[in-house]
Order: sequence, then structure tokens, then C-alpha cells
Amino acid sequence: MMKRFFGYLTLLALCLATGCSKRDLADASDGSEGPLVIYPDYKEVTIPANIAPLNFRYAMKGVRKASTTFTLDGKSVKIKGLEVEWRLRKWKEFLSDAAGKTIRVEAEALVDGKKVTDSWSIQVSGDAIDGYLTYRLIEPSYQMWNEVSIEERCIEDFRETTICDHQHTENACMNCHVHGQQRGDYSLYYIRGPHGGAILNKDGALRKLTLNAEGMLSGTVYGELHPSGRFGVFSTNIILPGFHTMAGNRMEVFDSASDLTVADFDNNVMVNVPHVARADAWETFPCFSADGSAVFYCVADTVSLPRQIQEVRYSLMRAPFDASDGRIGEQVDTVWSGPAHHASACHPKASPDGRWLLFTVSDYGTFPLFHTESTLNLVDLQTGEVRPLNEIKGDKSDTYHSWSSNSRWFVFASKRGDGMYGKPYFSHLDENGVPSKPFVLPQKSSRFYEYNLKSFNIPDLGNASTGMTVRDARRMFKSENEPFKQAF
Amino acid sequence: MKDWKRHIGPIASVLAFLAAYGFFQFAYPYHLMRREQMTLFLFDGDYIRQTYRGSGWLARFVCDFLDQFFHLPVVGPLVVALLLTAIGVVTYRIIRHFLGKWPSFAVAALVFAWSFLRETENLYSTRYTLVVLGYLALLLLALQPRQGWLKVASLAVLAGFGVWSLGSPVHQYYGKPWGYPILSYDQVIGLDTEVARENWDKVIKLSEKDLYMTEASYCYNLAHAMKGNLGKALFNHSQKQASSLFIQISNEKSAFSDCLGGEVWFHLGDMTIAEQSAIIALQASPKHTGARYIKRLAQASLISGEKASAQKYLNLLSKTMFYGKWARRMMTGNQEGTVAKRLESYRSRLAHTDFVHRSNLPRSVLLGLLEADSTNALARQYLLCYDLMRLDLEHFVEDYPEGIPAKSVYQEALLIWLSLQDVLDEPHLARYGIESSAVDRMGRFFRNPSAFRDSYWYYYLNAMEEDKR
Repeated sequence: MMKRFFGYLTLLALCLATGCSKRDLADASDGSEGPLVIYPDYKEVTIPANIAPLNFRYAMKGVRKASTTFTLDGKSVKIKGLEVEWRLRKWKEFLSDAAGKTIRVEAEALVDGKKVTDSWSIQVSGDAIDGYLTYRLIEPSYQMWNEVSIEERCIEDFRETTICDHQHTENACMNCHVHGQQRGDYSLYYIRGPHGGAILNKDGALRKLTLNAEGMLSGTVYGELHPSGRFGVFSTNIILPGFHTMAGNRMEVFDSASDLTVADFDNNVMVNVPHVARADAWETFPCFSADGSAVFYCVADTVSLPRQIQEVRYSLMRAPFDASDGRIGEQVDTVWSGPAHHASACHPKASPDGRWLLFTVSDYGTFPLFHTESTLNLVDLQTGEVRPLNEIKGDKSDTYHSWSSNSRWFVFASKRGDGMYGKPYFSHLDENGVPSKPFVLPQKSSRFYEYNLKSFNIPDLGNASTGMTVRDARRMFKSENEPFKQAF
Repeated sequence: MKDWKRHIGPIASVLAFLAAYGFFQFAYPYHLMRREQMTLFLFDGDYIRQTYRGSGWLARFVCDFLDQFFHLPVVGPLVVALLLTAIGVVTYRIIRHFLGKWPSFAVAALVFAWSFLRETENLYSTRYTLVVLGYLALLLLALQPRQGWLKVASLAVLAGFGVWSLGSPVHQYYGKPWGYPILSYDQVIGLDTEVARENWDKVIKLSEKDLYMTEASYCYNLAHAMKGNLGKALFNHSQKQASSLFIQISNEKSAFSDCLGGEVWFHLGDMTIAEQSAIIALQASPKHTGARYIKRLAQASLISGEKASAQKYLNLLSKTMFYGKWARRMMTGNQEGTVAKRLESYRSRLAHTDFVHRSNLPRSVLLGLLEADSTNALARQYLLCYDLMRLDLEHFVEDYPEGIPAKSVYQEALLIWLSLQDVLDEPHLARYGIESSAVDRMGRFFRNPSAFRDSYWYYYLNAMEEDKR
């Protein structure tokens, strides 16, 4: 009997071994350039010294017997094998004094039996990056949800904590976790559905808020928290999904109506002002300036949707914000005109030092996720100059960006490569506004992105852990909502 | 007689095995196949290490490993019958430690019947069968030592091992504690499965028993359309207006409908809806995966020219036991002969003009597909039948290709339209190639409508009367 059992076990092991030998079929869709293709592409990138190990694999047909040597300050670490995966402690030791220095990587492997060598550099920046990244993991359907979760990943290692998930919220939908000023103890996310609400984390204390009041289009959707801790600026949107008939263009999500509103968390009121809730315009994606004295947002003239979707062009606007009463002022300036550029602006985010503002530009609409032309644009708020960051543009969409608290790093969701699944990419921005080559969030397994069938939705950086857990999510889900009223 | 009693255990085991096997092989043939479609098992050490972690890893690993064999018509039922029989045998051995032969036998038979029947109301859950079997086996092991303290100690150790490797015996996905077979449910699953496998003859055969369900009519229509026969066969089956032709993909529909809804669009040539439908299916499947849906995503990407995403899906499938060969044949550089031809044929159907719709405008999408490829016979059939189902004879006449003699329900619809226009004369009949015998038949219909239930006239008349009500 035992003999037979071990017989079956050997058979399974043999099957596994045979399956594993097919690995060379796995070409990476967006691997590096150079004689040896690696995925993820960590060649010639700039990284923060506090990042998790950059694990990668050699991703080309016929590659065998690879050897990779990392050298820094005379120290060398050699890793053999097609999968270059570091032990965390060893990586941390290697990078312990690396800030401002360059790692040299020498690689050699047999490709179709011939020896191939390659080398590249990794620049370690003296600027650290915020250590935590939150995102929602979801299949890219934009139609329905099932078993979604909001995760917090420590990007200094590989720990991932679930902030909220379906198991603790009766399979409710949840979305949009945003940090206020990149603080771990100041953030907000939504649980949707009948027992849902906006979960506000302020100084570690949680509240469940109904950010909806009479006269509003809907509950709040996109938004940001004010530096004072008292306000949040939000859009209210009636969101509809649509399909493109041309293959490859995939989906479009659009607003049939949208306005802006401000939530006063201290007084539980929604401050609605008519000039950012116009019936003849769609206002959306609001964010605060670094000092909280202004609100940036996008606005477009209304057209008939979905028929005229290709004529929807959002402009980027700036309006003063009065932090004494939470009102958005009427003196609105155009920062970037959508109609003038025959393009559309989305997702503005101001850098914490007040110098820059990043936003996404696509040909039209309010959903750049499947727009291959979508490009991050950088506004120098000192000079007003706007320029597309073409040097970091991928072959697919780049959007949903967020700043690190020192304004030297930003993360954005990019569908580069497979075009379907958004992945968080990091880029360093120097004092002149020049970005470095982006690199994808490192994973413990170098093959993680090969198997992953979920998008990293709205990646947002935080300088500390939110400390929130699924138990908090369950407690909040079961707690009473705090109602909000209209301010007069 | 004595011999029979002595061998009651093995005989009962064989009978139980045969009953379970026979049931899943002949009465419930599609349950296991559907389960397999929602499973992905990759022969890749790294994937296995990443996927099967944490409490219950062994149960999930063995479950996914076994589920892939449900792809095969005989092996699946054999595996399930073995597992169910093993539950009965192990239960018998446990109870024998406490009770006599016949009471133990009775308890084992009850446990077998329970684990057999509880799986039949919903989709069969191999994992739960494995968890039950695993815990029973551990209990049996714990009962082996003779000393009482050793029994308690081994029970504690093995319970810990059970929680670690098998997970909790209670889980929200294990379904209801009791169930009974619903044969029509298997038939619907069967229609869906055969549609996915493009076994159109089997779909038609399964449709012989009319279930009066939108999803069943949808499969029936697709199978006949693929055979070029939709116009003729449309009203030989129950139809629920246009929703029998197109299932709108939305979050208000069930996951099953949303998944099925993409099938027609894939064959018509709209890869966007086909792709979204497959993603929704992945989202709705218990493990957020499934070889069938990944295969469809790979196909849609290949046809749309999205090489990178196609490569991703094909890489995954290339590591499976039953889709590996297919995936390797589909990879760029390996596409030969019929594979390349078929892909090209699908590519020729893609729309050339772009607009955004909410999957509620089939007519506009179909017109776009026909504009790109006027020979897309499937799109033509669906367009005409869509017009008919909506009683939109104006558009039907507009969409009807000139110079083609009208047959079957199309002829019947044209006769209604000509009557309404008051031009039921020879020149008009000749224009559409309608024979005068058809006019006589329409006359007979008005005398006795119920004798023409399979005609468009009957559908039209009923729909008009319902409208009046």
C-alpha cells in the first residue's frame, strides 16, 4: 500500500518536473532591452535605498544557466539561476550604505547554447520613498465586483496587509483608499452598498460617514483630504460603463453627470457651491494644493453620451479654497485647456512640496485606463509650464499617480506590457522635474506578474502604515453611519 | 449466503462506487466539466508555491490537481466516485472502533449518501469532499494507538495538522449541508459547456427538451446560427424576445448569464464584449480563475491583435495538462494551417468603425460588423432575427439583403410587412422571391393560428395581442 502511495507521489513529482521544464516558453511581454532580456525590467533604473529586493528573471527563449553579479563599493553578490531572487536580509545589508551610489550588474547566461553577457547599472537615489502603498486588487472588468480587497503593501519588504476585504463586509464593493498628505494616520476609503460609507481614519480613530446630502447627485466618489484634517474635497458622479466596438479600444467609463462638493468632517456638513455643480458642465477629480489654499479639478462641457464620447475634453482648473468655511471660490483659473489641446485631463495630484502637479492627458473622456495614448503631464506650479513626461511613457496607459511625501518619488498605475492589468510603477523626479526610468513594484517571486490576473487599482503612497485591518473594516461595516447635512 | 455476508463490505463499496460513478457519468455529466472550466492548475513549481499557501493549502492543491481531470468525460466521474466511496469506507472503519458491524455499516452508508447528495444541488465541490475525507482519515489514524493518552495526543497533533493542511471543515463556499439533484440544472450547465466547446450538434440535441429559460434559448439560437439555420429554427423553440438572442452584460445579471453573454459576441466578431464577459466570469468564479475563460481571453487578444496580453494568457495555459498543446499551437510563430486560417477569419469580422455603447444597442453593433464584413453570415442572421424579435419590420426589410429569395421565418415576416403596406401583389412577391404557396399558408394560419406555433406569424400575433393588453 505504502509502495503504491509513493509510486503515485513520484508520478506527480515527475509531472511537476516536466511542467516546470516548459519555462523557457514564458517570454515576457514587456521585458528589458539588451542581449539578456529580464522581467521585470530593472535595467538602468533609479531606486530608493529603502525599496524591497528587485527580484527578476531572465525572460527569453532558450536561456539557461544564468549567473548575475551585483557589485557596489567593492562588495559583490553573485546569484545563480534564471530567477534572481534575493534574501531580504542580504539585500538590505547590500543596500545599507548605497544611497547616492551605483550598483553594477554583470550577467551571463547560455542562450541556445551560446554564452551571452550583459551588464547594466542601478542608481540608488539619496531620496527615500514612503514605505507603504495601498491599492485595490480587482479584475479589470469595471462592470461588477466580487471578492475585492484593499491592500497595504510595505514596499521596503514584501509584507502585504489587507485593510478591507469581502469576507468582512458581506462581499461589498470597496474602493479609493487615499492618504491625506501621505500620512498613515490620515486616510479615507469607501465601502459601498447598504451598510457602507466613507471610512475616515483620522489620527488612527475611525469613523463611518455618509458623505451624501440632499441635493447631491450621488455619494462622494473621487477626492482628497485637506491638510487641516477638517475637510475633504470630492466629486459626485453618475458613472456608466460602455464598450468600444473597435477591438483593442476595450472599455470607456464616463459620467452622465458630475459635480464637486466639500465635506466638513468637524461639523458633518456637505458644502455645495453652485459654480462647481453646474448642470452644463461636468466637474470631477478634485484635489487640494499642497498648502490647502486651492482646489485643482477637471471640468468639461456636457455632450450627449455615449454618442459623443470622443468630444469630451476635460480642462484642468484651479480655484481658491477657503479653509475657514470650506468654500471653493469663484475665481477659477484654467491651468491647462482640454479643448485647446484637443485632449482631456484626468487625475490631478499636487506634490507635497507645492512645486509640481501631475495629471494624465488622453485624447478624450474621463477614463484613460485603456487609452494607450494617455501620458502623465507635469505642471511646474512656480512657472505654470506644463510638459508631457514622454520619457517615462509606456506603450499602454499610465495614470492614477500618487506622490511620496518628499515629492521626489511618485507611483502610477501602468498597463504597459499586457495592456490589461494595471501595475504600480515608481519613478524618481529630480529638482528640475526630470523623471527617471520607471520600475515596477518588486515582488517576492520574480514570476508574480506572470500569474497575476488582477489590477492594482489606484496605488497610493503613505509614509507610515495606516494600522487598519480587516477587523476594523468589519467593526466599521457593522457600526452606525454618521449622517451629513447640506450646509447653508 | 455466509460468503455474501462476509463480503458485504467490499460488495457495498463496489455498489457505492458504481452508483456514484453512474450518476456523475450518465445523469449529471456536465457538473464536473463546469467545475473544471473554473479551475486552473499549472504544472509550475513557483506557481504552486505562490498559490497553495496558508491554512488548507493541501486540500486546495489536491482539489485543483484533481479538478483538471474533470475535463475528461470518464476520468472525472471515476475520481469523484473513488473519493465518495473512500468517505464511506473510512467512516465504516472509524465507527467499527465503537459499534458492531451492521450499525457501522448503516452509519457509513448514511455518511456516503449525505456526502454524495449534498454535492448535487450546486456545483460539485471536490475540496469539500477532500476535506471531509481528510479529517475522517486523520481521525482514523488518531484511533490507531492502543493507549488512551496516546490516542488523545495523536488526535490533538492530527487535528492541528488537519487545520494547517486541510483548512476549516466549515467554510462559506462549501454550500448547503443538504441537497438533492436537479436534472434540469445539469442540462443548462451542459448547454453552456457545449457552447464553450463549440459542439453545436450537441447543443441542438440538448435543446430538444425545452427548458423555457432565456439562457437555454440563447444557446439553442447560437447553435442554429452557427449552422446557418437560425432563420429556419428560431420558432421551433421558446423565445423570450430579443434577450434570447443577446444576453446583456451588466451587474444586474447573474454571473452565469454574464459569462454566457459573451459567447455570441465572440463568434460575431465583437472581441470587446467577449473579453469583458470572460473577465466577469473569472471574477465570479470561486477561485477567480478558470481555464475556459483564460482560453477565451487568449483568443480575444489574439484576434484583436493584442499580442502581449495573448502571450500572458497563453503562457499560463501552456503549463496546464489539457490546454497546453492548444496554447503552444496558438503562440506567435507556432500558428500554422487551420489555426492561422481560423484566426484570420475571425479578424476579418472585426469592426472598422468605433463607437461606444452600453451593450444595449445590438443593432448598431451588428450593422458595424456587417459594414466591416458584409459576408458575416452570423451577424446577418442575428440582425434579421433581432429585428423580428422586436417586431421591427421596417428595419427588417431595410436589413434584408436584396436579391436573396426569402425562406422560412424571413418569408413569413416579409408577408406581414407586405400586407401592412397593402402591397401583397405579384411584383412585390417576386421581388423577395416569395412563392404564392406561402401566401396560401398565411391564409391557413389566420383560420387556425395554433396550428402554426413555429411560425413568425404566431409570434407576431401573440406579441401584438400582448401589446394591446
